[in-house]
Amino acid sequence: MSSQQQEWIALAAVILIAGISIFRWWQRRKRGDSGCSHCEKSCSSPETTSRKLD
Amino acid sequence: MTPTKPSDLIASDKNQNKQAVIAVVGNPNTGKSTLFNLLTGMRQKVANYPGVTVEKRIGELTIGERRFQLIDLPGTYSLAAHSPDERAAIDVLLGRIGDMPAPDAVLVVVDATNIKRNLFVATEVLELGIPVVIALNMVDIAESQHISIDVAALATRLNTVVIPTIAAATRHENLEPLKAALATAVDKTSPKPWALLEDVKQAAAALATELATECAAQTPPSPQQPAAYEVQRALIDKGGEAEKRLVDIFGSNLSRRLQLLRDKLTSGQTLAERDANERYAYIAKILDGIVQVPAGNQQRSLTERIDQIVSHPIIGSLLFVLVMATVFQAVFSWATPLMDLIDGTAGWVTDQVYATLPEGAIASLLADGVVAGVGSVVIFLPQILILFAFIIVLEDSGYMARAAFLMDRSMRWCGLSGHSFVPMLSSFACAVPAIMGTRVIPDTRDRIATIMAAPFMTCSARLPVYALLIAAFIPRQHYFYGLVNLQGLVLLGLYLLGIVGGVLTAFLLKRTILRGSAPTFLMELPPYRTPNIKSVLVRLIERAKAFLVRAGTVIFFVSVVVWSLAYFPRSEILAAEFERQKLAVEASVQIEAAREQAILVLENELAAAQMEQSLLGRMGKTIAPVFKPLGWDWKLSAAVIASFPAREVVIAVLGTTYAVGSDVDEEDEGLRERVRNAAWPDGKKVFTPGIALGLMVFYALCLQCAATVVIIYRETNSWRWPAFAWVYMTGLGYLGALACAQLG
Repeated sequence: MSSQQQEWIALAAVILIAGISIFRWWQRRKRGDSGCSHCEKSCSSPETTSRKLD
Repeated sequence: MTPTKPSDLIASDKNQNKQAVIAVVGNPNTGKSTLFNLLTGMRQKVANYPGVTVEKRIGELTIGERRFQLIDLPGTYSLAAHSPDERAAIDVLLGRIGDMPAPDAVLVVVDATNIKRNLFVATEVLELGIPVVIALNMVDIAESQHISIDVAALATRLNTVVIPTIAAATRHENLEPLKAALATAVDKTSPKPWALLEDVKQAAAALATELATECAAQTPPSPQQPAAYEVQRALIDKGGEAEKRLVDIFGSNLSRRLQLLRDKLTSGQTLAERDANERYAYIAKILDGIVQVPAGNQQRSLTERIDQIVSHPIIGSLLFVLVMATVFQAVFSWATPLMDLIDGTAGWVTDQVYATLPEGAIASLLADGVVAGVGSVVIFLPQILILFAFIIVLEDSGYMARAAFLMDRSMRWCGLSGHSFVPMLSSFACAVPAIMGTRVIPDTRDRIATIMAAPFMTCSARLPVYALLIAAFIPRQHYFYGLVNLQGLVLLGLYLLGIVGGVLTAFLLKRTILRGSAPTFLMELPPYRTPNIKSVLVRLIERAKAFLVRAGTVIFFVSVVVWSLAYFPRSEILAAEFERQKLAVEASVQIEAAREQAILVLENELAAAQMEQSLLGRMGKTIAPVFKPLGWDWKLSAAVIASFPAREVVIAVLGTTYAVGSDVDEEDEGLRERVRNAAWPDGKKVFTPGIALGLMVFYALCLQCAATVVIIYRETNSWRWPAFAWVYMTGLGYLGALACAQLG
């Protein structure tokens, strides 16, 4: 495989990964999530919220 | 303790086809949310109540063929609303929230170990005339404390159903009888409302009728007719949420009318005092002879003995600092072997990629993009888990509540109270839930001051950045016979810097634009308990999963995109020039080792040159002048800019940029070495101690988190505060880094 072919394949992979990531993020935003999995996990994590007191 | 038969007490006479609504009410710390989770399982949705930023949790309970809607209301000690959370709870009970119907029944969760105080809100709910089921929760703990309760007699005296329950993450009992009781309660004809303060109820009803007439006389007629109970609450809770709302609708004249009525109804004490006195007398009468509490409770006395030391103003504060210092020492001392293992694995994967695939873009994408980017973040998993293991154990043992109590004094100094400590503590994990947690703060000014201070606390996303820079630039020096290490001390210092930044911000805000009196703080100190290992492990696994999912999604995405920006476009001219020079070296250098070394130098020069003319290189160079006074090179400037949406991204970006443009030899020791060896074109090191410290200070103070900015907007309903927070924190971070660079 030539270096140019490799570059095209790598670029296509990057675009595909970016596209899927953005699509999934947008879908979650549409569902009303904050779009940030880190924050949502933290929210549901009992040690991090004041809700644990309830 | 055996459950009473619900069917004996409640008759079924309503139609069974509609989806009935059950509200869940209770004090904080009663296991209310755990019980809610156990009853609804995963069938839950979370939203805000219309118009307010109070979280509404609705779940579905299925009993046989029937489905019920369960609403988990915010924990409250009484129906006297003094915060948006408590107001939402009353609005739900009165059916005054949008198109939500009034509940068909209420499940009141009562802590069996603290029944007297818990019955305060239970009796208030009973007055409303809605069918009530009481879950007498934590009966196992009550039994272990030798507290005996005659459940059947309690149910008879309260004229409602009482089910003793155990609802914990590891054990639950009597859920089926509770479900059956709820299913029966929703079909019951609503009991007649009553009031402990009958004269107050009548006066409130008369005023509500007057106000309704005034509403009807308006042109057009006002739809906001007050409920009699709302007026009753406004009378009792002077200055509370109910009065505020009625004044909003009917004008300040209503305050005078309410006060005239209060003066008529009381003598020598406020209505709130009269309500509390009469209610506790009523509860004492109900509990007389059916609850036996041993005089000297062993566990409580042990708790009190420990508290004499732990909650002591001086000894307790010293102990707190010692505990936190130990945590940070452990984060660095214990994590090293595991981090080395992950680092070694990432290095091995990189070697395998280069050995298996032909040299070119695909190998670079996998090795320099995916492995270097994701690997550089995953390596911090052991440190994050050690930190959270400590935090979870300290919370579960009851120590953190004491820390909040101790912190109340410090909070008071900056105009806040211990109310703000729980959100501040939460923000050590993530500022987003912390900012949402400020909803429990009754005063709006205190709430905004806490929201502005919370993002300063060192969240889990800052930890990898600190860990990388400390490991790279702070020597592993040990003091006091190896007990104290310098790296741990620096980490502790950065955590303290965040705390100081937050506290000073609150201090300044509370003395300027958010000026107001210091709030009162009331908090329950739970007894000390031995943490449940299983529960600690479950939560640690949750945290690890959250971190790895983040690394596998957001960090993976960023790594791949940054790699492409750092790799493309490729310069054919540079590649041709490299080939020409390589041929010249091969022809001129005879000794094999020297030839290989010369070619390696050429390869490194090519990689650096290709990156400089890449998209990332051009962007970095454009932005670099802004950060030049801080002593940052264009790679670091680009990494910092890329990390504004999420600060831990900087690790992945540095991992990728320094990998793409770095030595490709097998002795490479990972990102720490690459960052340590990063140099300007003239060979001078990029990271001097001052610049490295400046970068840490920048990350300690700067607001690099899009989710936090969005949540500040959501919680304050204005772009003014998130814009202020972003400009203020970024400016502070910049100035801090500038000071370090100039002084260092």
